Amino acid sequence: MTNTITTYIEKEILNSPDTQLTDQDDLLGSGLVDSMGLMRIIAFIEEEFGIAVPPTDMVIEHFMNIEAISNYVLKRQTIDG
Amino acid sequence: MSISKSLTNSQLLLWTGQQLYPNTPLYNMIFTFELSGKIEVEIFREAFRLLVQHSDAMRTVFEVVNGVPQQKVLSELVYEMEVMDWVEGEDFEVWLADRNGRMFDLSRCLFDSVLIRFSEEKYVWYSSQHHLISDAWSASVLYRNMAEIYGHLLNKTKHKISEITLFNSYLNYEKENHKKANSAIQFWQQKSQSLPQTPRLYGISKPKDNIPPTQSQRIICDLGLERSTRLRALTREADIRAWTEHLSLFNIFTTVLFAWLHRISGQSELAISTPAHNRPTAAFKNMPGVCIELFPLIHSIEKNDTFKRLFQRISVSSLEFLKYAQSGMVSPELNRGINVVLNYIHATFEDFNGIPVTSNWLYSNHADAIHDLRLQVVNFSATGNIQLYFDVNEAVFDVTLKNRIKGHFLKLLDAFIADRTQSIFKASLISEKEYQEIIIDFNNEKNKMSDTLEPKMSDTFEVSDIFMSVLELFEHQVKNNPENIAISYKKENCTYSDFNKKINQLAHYLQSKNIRPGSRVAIYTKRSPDLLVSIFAVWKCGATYIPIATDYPMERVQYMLKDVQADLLITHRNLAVDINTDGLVLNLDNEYKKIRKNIDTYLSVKSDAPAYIIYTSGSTGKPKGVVVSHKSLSNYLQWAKSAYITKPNPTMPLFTSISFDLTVTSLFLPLISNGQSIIYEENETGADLALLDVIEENKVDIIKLTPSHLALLKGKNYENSLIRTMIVGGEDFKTDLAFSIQYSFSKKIKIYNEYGPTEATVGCIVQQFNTKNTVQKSVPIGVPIANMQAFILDDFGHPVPQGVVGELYVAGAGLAEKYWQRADLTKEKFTKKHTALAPRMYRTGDLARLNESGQLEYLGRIDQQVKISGRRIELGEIEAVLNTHPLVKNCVVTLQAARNETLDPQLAAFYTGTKTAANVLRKHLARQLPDYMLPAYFSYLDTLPLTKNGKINHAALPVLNSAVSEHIYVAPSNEFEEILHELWSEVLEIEEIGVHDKFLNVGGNSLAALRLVTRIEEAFDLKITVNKVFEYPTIAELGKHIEAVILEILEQEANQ
Repeated sequence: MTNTITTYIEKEILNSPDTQLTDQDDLLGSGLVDSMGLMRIIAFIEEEFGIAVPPTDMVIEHFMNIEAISNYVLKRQTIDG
Repeated sequence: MSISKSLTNSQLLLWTGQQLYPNTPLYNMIFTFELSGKIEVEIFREAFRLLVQHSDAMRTVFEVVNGVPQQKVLSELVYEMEVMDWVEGEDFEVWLADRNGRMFDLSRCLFDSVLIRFSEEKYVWYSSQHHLISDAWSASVLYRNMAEIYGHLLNKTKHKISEITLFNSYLNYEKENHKKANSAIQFWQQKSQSLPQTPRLYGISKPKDNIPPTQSQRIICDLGLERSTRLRALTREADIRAWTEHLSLFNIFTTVLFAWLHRISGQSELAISTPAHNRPTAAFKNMPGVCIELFPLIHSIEKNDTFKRLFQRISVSSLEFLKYAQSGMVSPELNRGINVVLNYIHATFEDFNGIPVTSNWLYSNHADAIHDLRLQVVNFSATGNIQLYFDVNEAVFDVTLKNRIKGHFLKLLDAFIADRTQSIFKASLISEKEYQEIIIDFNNEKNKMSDTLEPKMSDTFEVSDIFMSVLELFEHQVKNNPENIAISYKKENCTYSDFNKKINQLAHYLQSKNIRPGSRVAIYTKRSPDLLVSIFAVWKCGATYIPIATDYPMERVQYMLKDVQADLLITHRNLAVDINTDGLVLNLDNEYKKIRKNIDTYLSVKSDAPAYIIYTSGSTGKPKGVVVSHKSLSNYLQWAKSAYITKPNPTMPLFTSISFDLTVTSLFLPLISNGQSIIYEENETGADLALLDVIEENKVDIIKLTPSHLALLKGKNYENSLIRTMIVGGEDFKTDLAFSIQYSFSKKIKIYNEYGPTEATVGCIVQQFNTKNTVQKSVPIGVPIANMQAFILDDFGHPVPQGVVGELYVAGAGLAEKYWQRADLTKEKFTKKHTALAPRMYRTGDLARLNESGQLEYLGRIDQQVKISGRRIELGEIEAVLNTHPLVKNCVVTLQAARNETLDPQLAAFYTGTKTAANVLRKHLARQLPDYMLPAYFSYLDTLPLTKNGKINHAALPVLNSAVSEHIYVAPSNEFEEILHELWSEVLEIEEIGVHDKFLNVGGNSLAALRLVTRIEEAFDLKITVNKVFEYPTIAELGKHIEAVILEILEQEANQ
């Protein structure tokens, strides 16, 4: 799952396949991704992993890095599933 | 040359906007960059050349192909950047103003770039683009790349200009995205269907114009480092923190903007537009070109909103906005009617290859006309000092207002920063200076007179504890002018001296009937000399009078007599029949001789008792008495004398109902002004058309009347009328009516619009109608009269800023004492809560605003009170009485708009319970309510429509024409009835009139009667008077009458 997310971010948001994102890289704080970019990522994981992210879940803790996103998706999948 | 491509949706809007204003620099995006360091001019020029070469957006031009705008990228655009040395002493601002106003030729080149050398160490780079090829983000991309290319050229280092993303890729992306963005399309479609109406900022309605003006001005507001720092600190707090600091700040500014918009427009459902930058990816973040699109944010403000509550809702909607704001979604429908834009700009301009820079976003002083306000939040230099730009349309914001908005917005922003758990209504908006202007100066006695009234009126008078009562003022006239005529009634005249004699005699007689100071005497007579004699006699005994109109239903009369605990009822023989009272009745006809036997000696008992108690409609189902002191009455009348009486011996008619306080002017003003009161008695039937007699006889020079009365006079020529002064009161006075009257009477006529609830004694705010400067739909009500003050407050008791609609409060010498035996209601309506403004105020329940000219404008009611022909009606009173009918479970009464301007609006009752004949319900109401309070329509409903909050949803009630009317329909049965039916339908604009329907019950009024009579006279070739329509109030009765008249005529002809 982390790979899918990483690839999406590198390719579609950062537009640079050369960038090596680690799972712990701070996406928002570093400025790599802005609010609008993060919304694209959310739209992507919603579609890709069949979950719905309610606005109350749209907090930094869930989306600060790829690891957090993966954890959140897993948690959400158990709830929704 | 590349191929032509269609425009993005965003570009299309810009292109269309520019076509509407071909010579206006609406979309010039202009920046200046002050560079404090040495610039190699030739390298700078080369850098710019490379920038243009590598940016397809910069080389894009526009043309119309087969009626459709197209864009194409020129393979080469030869552009030699201008470099100039600044001539010392010249005004740079003048140069800028000229340059900013230049129009781009959209088919050739859409940018402008100049390097200006001020000294070896100081340059200004002037860079401007048409919005079609750039936006704020794009401007910063151009700047940054320019700096980089310059740096590389200067240092001769390698660089990759090719990394600038081509706008062409965005064009493809926009198209692709649109194809798969179904949920976003749906989301915005839904939004576009729930856009609220356009709010009026500061109550200002923009003049309607085919090509509305685009002139706009930028007001810059520096938040300052301290405030900016506190805002940033806030963004880290748990309940504020969003994904990014920018998003948190955006949410804060959106919250404050919505709160502010609500506070300055009064509108609860609000929408603003805000741009999405549409650059979600790294590549688009390094691309010149226009990507932004405007999307609506819609919110409803609630009465109990704190900043925090509102902020939470806004935070959620920002996330939705970010999710669905995608390229290509924008359309004209999406932002329809939205007049406010919030533009939170991320773009920054940092140093230029090491050279310190100060960047300025200049304004072309034009913006889309629909946008009354654009609030730009910027922090270009990333210094931490946030700036707000208020770009305001000059057709909406005049000079005074422009200078105020900044302060109002900051009051709310600071309130948010200080304590976001506080109500958004808690902070007052206005400054000390505004307080001085709209509270202190506005109510200052010296300022009141000059604006609206004649210079003569500046002789103010003091109302102190020692004051002349109206009785004393009258006695003064008796002493000075005993032989002048005071009263004229039918063909009798009565001098001041004779009149006073009658008063004295009656007063002595009343004393013998035990009328003492503080006694309450009800007067139930028609308009007659006896009425005036009785009032003054009651006063001479130190007692209070209660006027009761003779056309009230008996139950209502009985209620009033009982409620007021009258010690005596003064009446005439023919009226006294039905009265059943425990108290004493004085029948003037019967006791005439006894009264005349009394001595005529001066009598005046000192008393603190009120002058009168007038009953008005009460929302709980029973009328309520308003207790007015002599002091209040005297204040009004002394002012009225100084304001309205401009010549000796004024003549004024007494022709309106004694139950309305409007009539108080006609009762007393002539008698304290050495004038003459001409009394017109009520006729026996239906509508009171005494006005027509007043006009016909042409004896008076001053008259007090309602706009409904004036409507009766509309459209004829009254050049020969002696009337010189008209005092119009009782209801909203429409400007077109005022114009029509002003022109049909002599030019010398003065028309005054007088505003005043019974609780503030007849009139407390006044305005002389002026044909030259009245632009509103209704004549403004003006400024307070002498010794009265007016305030417009919001729900929190704060004075609202000038222009904003709020509740009108009045204070001063003319306030009524109280409601009779209604301590609770007195406490609520005569409030002592705002002692900083006045010790006691009356809450009028009227909505008003202080316009740009410093005049008050009346804008309707807060509650359910309505007015028909100047008569005040609480819908709640009708509902309360209707609810007492055993077959009615629940009901609502509404005022339905008039079908045309000559007809009155009509009352319609909707009820649940058991379906019942309308005449049964009407009869039930008629026992307690006067005719004018009876609904024209009764409509049965299974359930009453409710709002989300469980209140009755007035908007969902059927309108009159489609409502099932339940009067018993009987079709015309003979030729007379058929013709009359046709004429009635024509005049009243309804089809289904039964021959037994009463004229007044199906929407008829005096004005309609006049029109009906003209048609009847034409149709039957005979003469009838207007009264007949009320004397024979149904088609059937009128038909019989006309038949009889025609027979009579025929007989006469036969006999000749």
